[in-house]
Amino acid sequence: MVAFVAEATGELRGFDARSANANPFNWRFGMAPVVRFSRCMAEARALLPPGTLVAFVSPGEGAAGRGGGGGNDDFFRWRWAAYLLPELDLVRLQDASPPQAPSYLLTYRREAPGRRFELVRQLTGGRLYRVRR
Amino acid sequence: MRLAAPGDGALFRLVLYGLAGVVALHLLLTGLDLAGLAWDPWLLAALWAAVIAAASLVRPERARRAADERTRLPSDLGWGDGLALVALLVFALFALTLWITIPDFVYHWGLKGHRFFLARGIDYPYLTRGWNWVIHPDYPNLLPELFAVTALCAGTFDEPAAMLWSVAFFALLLGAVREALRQAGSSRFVLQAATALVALVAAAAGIGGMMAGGADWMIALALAAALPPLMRPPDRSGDLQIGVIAAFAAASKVEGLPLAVILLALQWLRPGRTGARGDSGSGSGAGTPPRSTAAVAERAAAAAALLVPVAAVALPWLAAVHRHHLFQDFNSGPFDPARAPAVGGALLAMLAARSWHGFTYGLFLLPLLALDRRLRPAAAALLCQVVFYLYVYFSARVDPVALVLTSFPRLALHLLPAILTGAAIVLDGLSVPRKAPPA
Repeated sequence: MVAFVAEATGELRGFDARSANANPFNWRFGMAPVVRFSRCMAEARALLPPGTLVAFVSPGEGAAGRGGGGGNDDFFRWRWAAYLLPELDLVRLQDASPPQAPSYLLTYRREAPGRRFELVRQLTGGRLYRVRR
Repeated sequence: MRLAAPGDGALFRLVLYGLAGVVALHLLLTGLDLAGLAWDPWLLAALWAAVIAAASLVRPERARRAADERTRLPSDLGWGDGLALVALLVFALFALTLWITIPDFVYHWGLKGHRFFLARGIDYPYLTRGWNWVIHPDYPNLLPELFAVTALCAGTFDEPAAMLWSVAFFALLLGAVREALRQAGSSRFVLQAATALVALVAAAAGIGGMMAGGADWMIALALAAALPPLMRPPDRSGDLQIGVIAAFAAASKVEGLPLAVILLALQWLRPGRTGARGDSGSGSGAGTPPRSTAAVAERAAAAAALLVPVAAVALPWLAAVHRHHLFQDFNSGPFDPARAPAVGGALLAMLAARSWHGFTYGLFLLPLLALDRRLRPAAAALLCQVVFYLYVYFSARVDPVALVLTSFPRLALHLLPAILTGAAIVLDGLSVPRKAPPA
């Protein structure tokens, strides 16, 4: 009973404090950073036809351990982006290579790396680019 | 052959029919996939109605009458049931807010459910994308299918609706626990106390450990639901119950596949399997050759009851994994005893996992179950499952410490409800003379 009450009240306090910031590894539904990120993804969703292969990049990219998560901000933002954009095929920019060449690049809180991307739309907190062929 | 045994209470019938219904739905969806038909909600509704009609038609009149006579809900509700209901309701409220959603819902369970909803079927092209190793494309698909069917019924993918599956599985888990205690003839106090204990501990872990929307409730439910048939002497209903429970486990999660094999093997090898019309076999296991045609027929019926549901679930899944090259090589590797210090240290640390409040030490109560003869098959199943989890920690091609840290609190949920229930039955049996279960 003590454990149950402790966990319930603890999670209630966490729920009340959901406006606080958190790194993507600790994101939960309803958290302020998730709400901000979701807004950006919703804007991108409206611009991209279903089934499009889209590359994604955000700050904190790096190698993620296969099968073990690895742990970096870009990796977990990518997973949230894939969840929030289920109609699209979302690949991390670092994994996007032929024959899986994306048509668009979606960035969050950073610009596109290099000149082969053409800005399509500035989003709330992100940018959508078309990949030049 | 009937799924419910004559002594099964209404709650356990709800558990059994719930599991059987979910397995039947999974087979229906698999059949549509194999036939190349999209999961159209109207087609599904028509087929589901046909399944229900067929199930009610094949039930013999005598069995139907007998079943109807025993469908009363328990009339001995008490304080433990009340506490269990409160725990379930609080878990449900938190789950509906999505605040305690398991990260894996976003990373793979929910995403796959949404993709299957959009694709109106298992989206194998998506699962086979090179970068989608992160969504465990080789996992069994029952939970995403349930999410997808829920979305098909609602017309849109809705996370709170998806969370209700965890609430439902938790509720069925509590029903199975209560039934195991009742069938064991536990005293009223122990039945109430153990039901409340399991409910409160699981709810605390589910809330604090963020387990809504995951498949771990399903494995916990399978193990708890297996307690009553494993406690009884083996019979046809028990075989079918184990077959359905094993099929449910195999369809739920990759950990459910070894559990299914363990349950089938244990039920098949149990001593005391009697032959048809009392013919032969009393006191002997299934390894003993049958002595008459009737005994052979009985063995065949038992084998069919055990194997057919699991084979119907596992074989199409295995074929799809093979055909689409979905198996991930990091799932398995050579057994590495040198991992012992790292795995042991991580396990010791995780025994003190915050959301479990020390109840994970309850895993050490497992040997206690062997003190009650009726619980030995269940104890053996739980032990085999523990050994499998340890084997994975020593063999998977991933960082073992990270694997223990991220998985142990969830694996504890699989095991603890059944272990705590069994321990309560044993301790009650040691303290009071054994009673016959109420009729």
